[in-house]
This record gives sequence, structure tokens and C-alpha cells, in this order.
Amino acid sequence: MSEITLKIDGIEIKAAKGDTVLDAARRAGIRIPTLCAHPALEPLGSCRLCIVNIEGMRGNPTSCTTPATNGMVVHTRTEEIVELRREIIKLLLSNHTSPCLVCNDRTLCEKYRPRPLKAGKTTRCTFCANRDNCELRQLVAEYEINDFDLPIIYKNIPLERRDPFMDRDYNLCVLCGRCERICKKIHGKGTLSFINRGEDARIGTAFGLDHTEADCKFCGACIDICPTGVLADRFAKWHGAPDRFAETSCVLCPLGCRVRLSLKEGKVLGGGMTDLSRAGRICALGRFGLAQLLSNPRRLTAHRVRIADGLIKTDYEDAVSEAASRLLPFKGDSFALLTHPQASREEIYILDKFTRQVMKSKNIIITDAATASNYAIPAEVKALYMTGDLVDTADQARLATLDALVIADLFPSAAQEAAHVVIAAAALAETDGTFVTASDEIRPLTKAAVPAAGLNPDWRIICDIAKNMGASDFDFESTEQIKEEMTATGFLVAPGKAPVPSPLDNVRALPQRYRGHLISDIVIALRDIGGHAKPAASPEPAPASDNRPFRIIEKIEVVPNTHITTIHAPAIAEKCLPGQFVIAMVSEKSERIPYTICDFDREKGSITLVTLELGRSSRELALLGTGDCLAHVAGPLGEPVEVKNYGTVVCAGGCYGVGAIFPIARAMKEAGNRVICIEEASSHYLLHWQDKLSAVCDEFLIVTKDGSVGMKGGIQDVIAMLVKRGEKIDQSYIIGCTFMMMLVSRVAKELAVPVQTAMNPIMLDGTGMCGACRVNLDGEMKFACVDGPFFDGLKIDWEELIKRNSAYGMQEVESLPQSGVRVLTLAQACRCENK
Amino acid sequence: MNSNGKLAEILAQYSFERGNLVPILQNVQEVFGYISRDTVGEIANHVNVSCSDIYGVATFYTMFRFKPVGRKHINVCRGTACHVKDADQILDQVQRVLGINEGETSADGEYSLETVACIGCCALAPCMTINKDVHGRLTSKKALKILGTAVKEEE
Repeated sequence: MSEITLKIDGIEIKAAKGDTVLDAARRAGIRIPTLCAHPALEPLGSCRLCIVNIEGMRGNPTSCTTPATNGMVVHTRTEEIVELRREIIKLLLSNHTSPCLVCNDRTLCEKYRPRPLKAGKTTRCTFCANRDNCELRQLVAEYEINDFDLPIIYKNIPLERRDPFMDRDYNLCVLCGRCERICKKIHGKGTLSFINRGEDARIGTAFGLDHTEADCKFCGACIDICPTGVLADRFAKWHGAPDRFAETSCVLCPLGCRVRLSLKEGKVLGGGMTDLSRAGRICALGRFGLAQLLSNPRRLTAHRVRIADGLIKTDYEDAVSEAASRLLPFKGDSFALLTHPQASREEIYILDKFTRQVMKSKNIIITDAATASNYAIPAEVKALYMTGDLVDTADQARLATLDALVIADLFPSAAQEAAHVVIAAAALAETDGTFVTASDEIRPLTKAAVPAAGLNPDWRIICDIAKNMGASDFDFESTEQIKEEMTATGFLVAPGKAPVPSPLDNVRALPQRYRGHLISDIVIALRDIGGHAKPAASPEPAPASDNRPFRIIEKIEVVPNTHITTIHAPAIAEKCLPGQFVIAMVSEKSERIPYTICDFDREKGSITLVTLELGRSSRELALLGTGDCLAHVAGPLGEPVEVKNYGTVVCAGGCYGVGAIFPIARAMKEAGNRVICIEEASSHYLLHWQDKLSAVCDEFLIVTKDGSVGMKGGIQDVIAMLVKRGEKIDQSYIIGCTFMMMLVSRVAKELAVPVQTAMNPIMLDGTGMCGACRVNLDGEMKFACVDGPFFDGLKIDWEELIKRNSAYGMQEVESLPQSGVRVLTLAQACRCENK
Repeated sequence: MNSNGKLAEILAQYSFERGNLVPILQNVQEVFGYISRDTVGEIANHVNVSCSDIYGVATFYTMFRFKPVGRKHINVCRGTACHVKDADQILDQVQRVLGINEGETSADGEYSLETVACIGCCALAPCMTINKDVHGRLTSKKALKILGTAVKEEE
């Protein structure tokens, strides 16, 4: 290696010929900020963040594209350079929806909301799945940017979530080009490219095609290399940043690719390439499938044994001893063991040893992974052990005739209905071992994930059954010990055949089965890729007639992620009063969700809801369109606000509360109050209903978190301002997120301003029965559904409320649908029409 | 000759190099009037780049179109000289007469309308082109006459 010497920030540095200035600086441990640069990519020099000053060179060249030369003198942190970088970051931020970065309440917000909210569209950091990993946020912290004077431009590019596995929100894109470069590097002809130009420039596909139509292999490299939250793994996105990475091999097909698992709290979130290059590429199953198989809500977590006609849950020891006593009488060729080729070598060895030595049978069969379950049970077999759903569908009836059927599996199957013992197993990254690839290479499998309590890998299950039967040679404590014995005995596992065409190059050639189960039954997103089984399409519902109850008269997305839905509900419209809410179910199987009534028209018989897409149920509502029907809307519920002449009334709302505050302001104005309306938004592009609100108040004030319109700050700052200017506030109504209402109540307490806050706790029945919606008011327990929703904000125990509201955070994330959004209307929602 | 044949004929004139992309796109647009999804696929095979890349190049240049144009394709100039001479008024008039907005094609496929930054005859400002004919020193009235439409303003 020929060396050159240069001076960076006064330090003599030796660099290799061919190094860029950035490479040389990094060798010496000098940090130069970068965004478009990435170790796996050729330099591009588009983000300009890595500019440096080089003596004798004009301007400020980008260090990522400038070759280091002998004797060069480089300054990376002059006052001028740092100031320029700050300006560059601000310019990037103006094209990125980041008002949270300059919000006064940011620290407190992140403390109370440790996880970002599961929004459909990311309109700010709090709604961004990539919040904890965002490279822009790191740069903002590093360069101490607390304020910026440029307006944030929200481009309002439609969300792309039709494709399997990934969501794309190009409103966050800073055009670093990492995704399109890695796509080309790995696949040659890339799916992504820069399209359009000037302010319309963006990353996209030809003619805006979906990735499934644009030859995407779904390797996920673009997601992993994106510095912002534009590209997201739909399954993993709301789990937050991984806390661990582990390298292992994917065993779903005989290629046995190396994958780098990302994990959080022992749970696998995704796979990834160990090397972002063509040679290191993996398929969609390695990238997304492994995680979705392991961390799947359909996983078996309980062992079951047959008692009379039913299978009852039991613990592992009982299941093992039941399996042993069921199988014991069938030594010899009346016993057969079926396993799958995705088992580790150690597992195959142990299964083989158990079959031959303990059960004295020659019937150990490894099924073919690629084709359907293909094993026909021979007539002499009376007892069967299988590690999955491995029997030919035509032979399923034969299962019921077996004298003993023990199944160790990860997922439920029809075959299990005939089983005597079902043992829930740990597998894949939940255990270790080795795997022989199609190229006859032995690759290590790493135990990285933590299986659910009481779950053991196949090798341990078999060892325990064998020991239970009195066998002595099954005292293995690790796969390492098994491997030693296996090597000593010369046991060989034949490599599988490499699939043709390769799933790495053809998304339609992805492996179809795991342990006999169709993977597309478990990894639902696969159904959106050709070549995988799809369920029969449900017929299009007939258009609902105009007078159907709960028909949507009008549905608009008024600002990003905020939906205004006007519903035909004459009975509710006739009776409802300001401050009341309804409980809506989009389909008959939906969750019941309370929504505040934001407007009503008694003559037209309609009610209006303003909703944010923030999870499974609000997403179902957000995806409905004009003409669709909701399954049920129950209401009006809750106590209306007391409308009378107080004097001066403040009505303040943020997010969905902007709509919710409207009928209260209108009623208060009609009752002769002096009404001051306050609308809070993160930034200018989230303001809505200003005209409606200003028509029902005497003074209309806007406050934004980034100061783009009106005051900078929150509602609490406006209230403090009103008090300071001598306004006597006789009553105030605050509606919005719990965090905002808490902030307002804190300030109101100091200023002795009365506040009524609208509670939005977790609610089930809405009639005071379940008690889920309890709110602690100075030690007194109240139910938001029947005693509320409005309570005195000064008395509420906010800390407890916030804790209660996040009690099901993980379940909420896990319940999010994994299939792509293909149609905008839900056929199921109109089922009542067909009755 | 069918369109596949025509496209093959165009592609045959160029070697398999990425550098030929813009000339190929120009030639295709010249013959077909626009660049369709199908032709992009064929061109991609010929120069061995992805469809996305071709689309990326084509969308960079405003001259390329992805929808068929009308039999009479109108370009209203909005260059500096025309702008000073109130090109906006001419554009408004054309839009009103044809009932289409900039970037659109009339339902019958007769007219399509675009604006350009300069057509190079500033002395004739304000001006527009219909296919290859230049019409200069326009007024609203003259534009109406040229379009040959007996649409009377109903306001």
C-alpha cells in the first residue's frame, strides 16, 4: 500500500493512495458529518454536508468526492464550515416534516411518549417510525439547531403502501439517493431511480408503478440504508430501534444465506444483509419472512394434550411425558417420524437417532420443502411424530386413525385436530446449530431470539421425550455436544438442491413452505407477490343506498393524516349535544372506538367526526371513502358540556380536537359568551377548520410548535399570554392528545384558570360497565364514558392516565395489518347491506 | 406497419448504449407522439437499463410526454418577451376556448395544450405554436380566430 501524508485539523495523517479526504479523516478518527455518503456506496457528493476547507483549493469541496493527496492541508471544522453546515441542515429540514425538532416541549414530549405514535402519514417526528434512528435528528443534535427560519414544505405526496412488506412516505425524503444507488449496486437494473426534476424531483419507479410491478426483489436494502423515515419495514416500523444485531443463516431454502437479524427485547424484527453488495443479497423471506414467522401472532405458545375428545393446554413437562407414553408402545416400524428439511443438522441427527435407536424404526423421512406436504403414511404405521404440517393433504383423514400422533410445530394446522400431543416448538433464530447449504457448505445458526416461555427447540423436545422413555444417550445440553457426537459417528446430512430460478433474483421463486405450512398463510404480505397462494377475492359490495344508516356522506383528508368523515346517522344527530361522543365500529369485527362528535346537522341527519389515523381501528376508518358504510355507530354517549353564559370562554383544540372543539364554541357563542378559540398545530400544513372556528368565536388564535403561523408554542402559552394581557377566563375547554391537555392543565393550575379537558382513555363498552376508561380525579375514580368525557383538568392524575393509555402499546403495534392497502373501500364494512 | 415494427425500426438505428437514450426517446416521441409504458420497456431492453432509469431521464426533460397529444398540439410561449406582452392572457383565452387546462388533452383527442419557456421568436411576442406553425403578435381575439372555434364567451 503506497502511503500519502496529509494534515487534517493540524494532525499528520497517513492515508492510502485512492483514499478520499473523508476516508483519511475517518482513519484518523476525525468526524466529518455525512448524509448521502455510505460505506457501501460510491460517493455522490449530493448532500454537501461533508464540505471541508482545503488550503490552496477554491471553494469548499465535498470531502467524500475529493481524493486525498500528499501534503494536503485540510480544515474540517472552521467557523465558516460549521456555519455552512448548519445552513445545509436547515435547508434539508425545510424539505422534511420536522416541526418537532424545534418544539419547546420536545424533551417532555419524548419523555411521555417514549414510542412514536403509529400514524398513517408522518407529519412530524412524533409520528415517525424512524424517530429513534433518524440521521437528520442526529445531525440536528450535533449542530445544536434549536430554531430555523425556513418554512417547512410539506409536499403532500400520496403515501405508498400498496406493496408487500414496505410503506413509503416520500414527504420525508431528502434526496440523498442512497436507496436508488444501493438498489442498482445490488440488482444491476434498479427498481428505484431519480424521477422528475427541480422541486418535483423525487425517488420513484417508472410511471409510478408499484414495486411489485417494477421488478423489485424486496431485498429491503433500500429500507436499511435510508437515513430518514421514508422507507419503512411495515412489520418492524413501530417497534422502535433494534437493541441488538446477530448474524445467522437463513434455512428457509437450501441456499442458506447469511443474514443479520435485528432484534428488540429478544424479538426478531427483521433480517438484513451482512454485506450490502450483490454477493451478499438476500431474498424477501430472509429480509422480512424470518422475522414475521418468528414474531407472528399465530405462533403456538401453549402445549396441548388430548383428554377424551379435546385438546387441553398443559405445561412442557406434562406434554413431553404424555408424548413419551403415547409413543412407547409403538417401537419398531409401526412408528414413523416426519421432519422438514429446514431443520438444523443437529436436529436431523437427533431425530434420526431417536427413530432408529429408541423407536427401533427405519421410518425417518425428511419431506421436500419446495412442494406441498407430500408424505403418504404407510399402512403399517400406527404412531407418528412430525415436526410440522407434513402429511399429504389427501392423507389427512389417515391421521385420525393413528394410535399415537405427536406434533411439534410453530403454527396451528388442521392435522393438530387429530393429534394426541401438540408441543409448541422454538425454531430458526431461537436455537443454534449448523446447516448444510446447497453448495455443501456448513454454516452456523445463531440463537439470537428469546422464544416464549416454555418453548424448546426440536432437538431438546426429542431428547426430553427419549429420556422420558428411559433412553440413556440423550443427555445433551447443547447443540455443540450433539455436533461432537454427530461428527464422531460420521453422520451426514445431504445438502438440498439450490432452487431454480433463484429466489434472490426472482420474487416469484421464493420458498413456499416452512414445516409444511404455506408461508403465505403466515407471512400475509407474500400474497401480494405473484406465485403465492391468495385467498378468494370477496365480491364487491353493492353501492349503499342514500338512506342506509351510517353511510358516509362525505369523507375528506383535510390535512395529512387527519380525516373528516360525515356520517348519515339521523337518530344520533337529533339528540346529540356539544361535548358528546359516539362509539364506532367500521366492520362487524372491528374494535369499538370512541370518537368525539365534531359537528352535527339535525336537519340533514348527519354527524361529523374528525379523526387521526393512529392505529389499526382509526386506519380502518381512514381507509373508508364517501359512500361506504360503517357497521355500527352508537351514541350520543357521555355527558354534554354545560352550556350557559359564563362570561369569557376559551375553546382550544389540537389535532383531532380542532374539530371536536367546534360544536362547543358554537354553543358557547350562541349562549352569549365571549368566545376565544385557539387552534394548535405542529406546523402550518396541519392547520384546518380555521374558517369554521373563526365564525363561532370573538377571537381566533393560532399557535404552532414551529412558529410557522401565529405564536410559537402550545395552547398553554396562549393561555398564559391571555392571562398576562388581563383576560379573565371564566371557563375553558381543551381537546386534544393527553400530553397536550396535561401541559395546558399544568399551566392553568399555576394561573388559576378553570379547565375542562376531554378524556380519551381506553374505552370498551362506553356505558359504564367495564371500567376500562377510569380516570383518577384527586383520588376519586370516574368513568370517562358516563361521567365524562369532560373533567376538571386541574384534578386529573395525568401521569396515571398516560400510563393507563399506553398499557396495550405492544398489542396495538402487533395488531396492525401487514398486507398492503389495495383498495380504498372495505368490502366487509357493507356486509349489513346484504342481510 | 404496426407500432412494434415501427419501434423495432427506430431501435435498430441505435447501438446498445445508454448514451443513445435521449436520441432514442426523441425519435420515439417524433414517431408516436409520446412515450408509452410499452415503449419504455422495449427501450430498456435495448439499452440495458431499468425502466425506472429511462423514466428518470425522460421526466428530467420537459420535452418528453407520456400521454398522447392532440391532433393539434398547442404550445403557448411564456418566455420573458411573451410574458411582458401578457402571455397569461393568451393562455387563459386558449384554455377557455378549448375547455382544457395546461398539460391536458381534449376529450375528443383534437387539442392538447402545453406552455413553453421560449420558442425563439420574441419579436413576434406574444406567440404560440400549433403543431409546427408559429402564430405571433397574438391578442385574445386573434387566438380565438386562429383556433377556428366559434365559441362565444359566455360569462
